[in-house]
Amino acid sequence: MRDRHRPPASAIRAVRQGGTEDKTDESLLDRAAAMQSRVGNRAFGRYLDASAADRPTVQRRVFIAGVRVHAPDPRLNAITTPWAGDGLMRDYHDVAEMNAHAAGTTDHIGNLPGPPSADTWVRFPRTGLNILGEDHTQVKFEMVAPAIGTTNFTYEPFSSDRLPAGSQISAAYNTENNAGYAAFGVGAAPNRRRFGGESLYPKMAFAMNLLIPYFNGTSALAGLATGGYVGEPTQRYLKISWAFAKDVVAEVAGRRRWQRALSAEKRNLAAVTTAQMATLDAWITGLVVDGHLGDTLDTVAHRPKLPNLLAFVNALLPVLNARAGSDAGLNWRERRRLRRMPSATEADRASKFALWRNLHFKHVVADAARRGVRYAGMGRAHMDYLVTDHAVPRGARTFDMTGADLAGFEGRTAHLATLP
Amino acid sequence: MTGLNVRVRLLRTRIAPGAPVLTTRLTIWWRGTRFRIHDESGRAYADLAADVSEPRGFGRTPRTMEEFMDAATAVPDRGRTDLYGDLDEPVGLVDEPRARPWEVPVARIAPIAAQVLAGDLDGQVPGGRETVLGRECVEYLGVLEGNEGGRAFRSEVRRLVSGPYVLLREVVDLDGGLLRLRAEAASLDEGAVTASDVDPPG
Repeated sequence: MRDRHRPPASAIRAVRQGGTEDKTDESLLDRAAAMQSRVGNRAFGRYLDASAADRPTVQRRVFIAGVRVHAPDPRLNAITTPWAGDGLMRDYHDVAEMNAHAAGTTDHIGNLPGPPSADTWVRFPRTGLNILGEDHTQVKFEMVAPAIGTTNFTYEPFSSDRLPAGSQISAAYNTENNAGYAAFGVGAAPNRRRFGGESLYPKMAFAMNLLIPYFNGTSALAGLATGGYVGEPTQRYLKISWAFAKDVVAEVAGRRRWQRALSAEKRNLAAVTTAQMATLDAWITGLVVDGHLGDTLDTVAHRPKLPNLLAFVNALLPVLNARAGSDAGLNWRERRRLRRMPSATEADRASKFALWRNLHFKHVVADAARRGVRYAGMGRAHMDYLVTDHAVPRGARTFDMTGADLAGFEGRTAHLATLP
Repeated sequence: MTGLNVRVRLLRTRIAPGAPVLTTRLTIWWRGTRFRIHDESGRAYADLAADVSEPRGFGRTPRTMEEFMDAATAVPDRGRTDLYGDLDEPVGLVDEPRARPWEVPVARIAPIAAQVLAGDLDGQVPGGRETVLGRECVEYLGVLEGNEGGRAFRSEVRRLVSGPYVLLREVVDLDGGLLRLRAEAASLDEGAVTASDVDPPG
């Protein structure tokens, strides 16, 4: 029986994209509504997928200054002639740009690999820093960077810190992130710090603070298991934090009499880490990359480690808290601001560490602009933070790759597909 | 479709381990083929789209440590987001805080507005009955199943349907991940929508 308020198929016209008409599916909303009633939200996902599938098939076209180029054409060469007949849409300002793209010397244009937004032609300014705000589940910067042929970037998940060579934290960080660098084609690049978009330390601090209610029994360990999302990044930062603590143990052990005394917080962390070594070291260092902490911790074998983990985190956080107030990557006003913030409760510390991250982050972005970095990839929320805080470096431009700008690229690509 | 005239205020609460409870308020207007979606929290288009397209049914949920930190950082008075569309037109409008309005295919935003409509219930097995907002509702249960990042998931979806409207949608993770979503109609007014309610600015 038909629902009298359900949109009739006849009410739905062709869905046009980029101002041009493409394939019509008058039953899209009907299908979506029908699926919704069966399976809730997934129906809408299918609806969106369906509408995506109804977009025009991208034709084999090259455009120069908005005009399609047909092969054979004297402007096309051995490389670009096949482009007029392959499966992608390419939209150049001029012949020189097309030839540069063919020669692999551009870093501002290309087709996204997808999904999502497969084959979409993207274009960014040829000069200056371009800040791309992404949704980590949609069009990610690791898709965009290879598509436009750039390795001159910073990316939010990568560390901007100078991690000491041979240190435990350096080794742990690299273990966790090697695949990420490889995805950008820079796995073997020297000085990977230049790709760093943020400091590790505020994230370590935030993550370990986040784990306290799980370690002290306030929150159910099931929240850290597969199925939830927080178990994966917290496991990653637990491993990195433990490695950092082992570096502190070595630092304390290696201190000479003539050297300045280490802080009480560091000495305590070294003592606690040493005391927990037998219980925690093999287990933490054996946790798999991209695993969920709850999957192993919430077991008969490992739940007894909870007091040990809590002791470790309680010794670690004062060291990181002190580091926030003395971070050499910040200016003195920022350090003072952080020092004056309360840190007694988990909520206090969460606010403090989040601010620490943001303050540090602004310096990294500014530094990237000064270094001539071409792209800074980050979550859209963090790009919004830069905009709201008037911290977008002069000459840099922002691109919302979750909304308006991505839609603009998609619309332009679809529009070109309709041109003769 | 011409008879559709309704304004629904939705209260949406998402619970995810490690993230603050996220409460958002949406108002959805339908007037014939025209609709408008208003998000009081100023969430971005992508987040509103994820409300109805995220495969597990929980909407956009923090996954990375960066996102957990973003989620914990309150953004004061971010503004409001409005989406406008007409099923008889090819494109709609997205009006987000601190940005110029931009066009979007209506097909992408219509499902966001349609989340308050029950759709075709043929073949559905009705369950119990409850009263919401003074309306008698019928319960429908469904399960979302799939694979995300190589891991299988299952979410149970419970909907309370009254006539053409969905007055409550609850999503629960069946695999122990402790994620929850509850989207409930805080008010529903039929016949109250005027043309100005669904007119885009300008």
